[in-house]
Amino acid sequence: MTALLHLEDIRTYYFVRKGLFGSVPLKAVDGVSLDIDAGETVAIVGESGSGKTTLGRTAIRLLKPVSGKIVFEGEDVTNSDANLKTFRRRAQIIFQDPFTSLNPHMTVEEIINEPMIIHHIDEAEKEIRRSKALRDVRLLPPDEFLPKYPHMLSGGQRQRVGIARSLVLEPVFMVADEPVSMIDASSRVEILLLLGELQKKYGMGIMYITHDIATAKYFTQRIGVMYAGKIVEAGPTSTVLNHPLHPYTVALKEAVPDPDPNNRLRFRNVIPGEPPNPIAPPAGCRFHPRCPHATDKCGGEEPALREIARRRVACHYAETFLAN
Amino acid sequence: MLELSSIKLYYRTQRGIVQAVDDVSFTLQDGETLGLVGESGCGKSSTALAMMRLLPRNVERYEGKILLNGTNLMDLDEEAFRRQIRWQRMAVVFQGAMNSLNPVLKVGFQVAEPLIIHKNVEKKDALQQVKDLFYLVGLPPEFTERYPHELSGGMKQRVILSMALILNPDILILDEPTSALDVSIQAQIMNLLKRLKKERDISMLFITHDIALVSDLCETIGVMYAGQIVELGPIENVLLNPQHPYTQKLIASVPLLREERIPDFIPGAPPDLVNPIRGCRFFPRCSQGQREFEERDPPFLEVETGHFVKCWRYRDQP
Repeated sequence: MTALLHLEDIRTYYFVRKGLFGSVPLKAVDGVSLDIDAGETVAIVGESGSGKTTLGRTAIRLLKPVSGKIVFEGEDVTNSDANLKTFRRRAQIIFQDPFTSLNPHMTVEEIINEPMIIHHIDEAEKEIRRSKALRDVRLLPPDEFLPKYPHMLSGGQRQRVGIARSLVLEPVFMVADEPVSMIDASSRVEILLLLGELQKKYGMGIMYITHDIATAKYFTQRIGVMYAGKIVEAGPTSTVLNHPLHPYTVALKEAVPDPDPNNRLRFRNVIPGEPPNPIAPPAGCRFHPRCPHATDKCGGEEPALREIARRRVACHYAETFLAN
Repeated sequence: MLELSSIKLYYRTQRGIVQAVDDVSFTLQDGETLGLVGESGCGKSSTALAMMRLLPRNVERYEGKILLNGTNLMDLDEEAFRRQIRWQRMAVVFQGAMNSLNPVLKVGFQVAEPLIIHKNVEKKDALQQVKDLFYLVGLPPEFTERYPHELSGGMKQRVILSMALILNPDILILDEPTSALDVSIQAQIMNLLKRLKKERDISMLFITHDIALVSDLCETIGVMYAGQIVELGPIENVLLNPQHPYTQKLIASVPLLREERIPDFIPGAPPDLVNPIRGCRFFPRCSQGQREFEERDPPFLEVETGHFVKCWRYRDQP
């Protein structure tokens, strides 16, 4: 079976000016391979600068990778501009910030119509899809929301408009880039449940990009943990989060607080330092300068992402951690 | 000891009067850390502004009492407040403050500035004090010579924390000190705050939207909703035995990493604070609300020692 979306050794670099004429590559995504099937949600977690957003944008070809392959529904769309419009119709994105990703001068109706205008959907069909999408995201009754402007809506409602806008093209794949990080805690879960529901209803594949591994735990089937442009651990969400093998995944998990007063004033085992400069990442394992288990080998030799205990891990000592 | 009573802070806007902080009262004992949680727009940051008397121009109403060791700060004129209280007795770390460092001055000087300018401390001695403080917040002393752009987000936040601590205040207000940081850096800063709390006799008001962070640091928690404190009490009582329906739902909406519990959510959105509804402000979203609760403002009742709830459901309790 071919995956809905197949990413193969994707490298997406930005070029940063250096000096008068030169430029150096910032390797935001540096060799990521990932499959996403129809009907599944895959979490991409990582901290800022890990390359997760760049990966998401590359997955729907908002960015062109410098090398690697993007295969969508069996078609190579890495460089083909001919397939791009169809691809863009079937693959959609929901942005992080519902305050800036909606045009403040447009009404909800205009916002939702726009993608359909671009893709030449006729008037009658437009109306059908528009009201269906608004019903799907529970902006009810639809007629009441159509004439509203974004500033008249709450954060949660705006994000629903963003979701409705991506639904009208009937996508089979969606990138959700931190869709709830700017939404109030009490409404986050509501939006995530809604996304899960829509996914089931339409059998979409979703790439859920987040820094929050707790939400990833509840709303995704598989997870990929990114660090400095690479996937360091990937597999079924429950396997990776319940029994992480990569020291970075372990540290990420340890850093998340629970609302439990028994933890009060308990010092957390935190990893020192900060993520590396993406222009000059460390040699060997990119995590080694911060890793509590690092040895000389880690600084010299880059660990390959390999299959161990039902997941892929890029750590020289994964077997040792597994045995313990 | 600090005591706020019936603090009101209203803003004038084109749409009308916003009741950002409406009748907020709490006390902060010496050495105590109080966590103030709530969602965006609930008035938690405005409470910090009211305490520091850092008011925008469009203030419509600013009243209540702020007693610091018995002195009502509201009676002080601006000059006295500036000279005696702000930054000296009470300091604040604002959300995103790390982006407001002056890019053309070395951070050591920026931290030392109040000592040099207001306390007439020799520049060399002031910088030495900054170095000591940098050690406390986990920065290498030589970082005093760096410019803001040479520091990462977590380091800048440590610089900002030093700025707030340089005049040795009794009370430190932290307004979402970690929300712009990554989780691993957030955990570092939280560890630092825990250490600060253990090593220095300082009271803190920790403002956040993240109830899990409060439980990591604070003895007491106040839950704000729509400009009011709806529940206040010892952290164990409030987290393990929440009484206000909003607190119950807010806790239930946190996705837990280490336990299996499907998180819940609160339907609807917080009310508009321009002409907020009468009676309980949570009523329209409350699953336990009854019609008779709608009209009148609920009382703030003590349901057990030190644990207060603003909800009509407890009116008949002894």
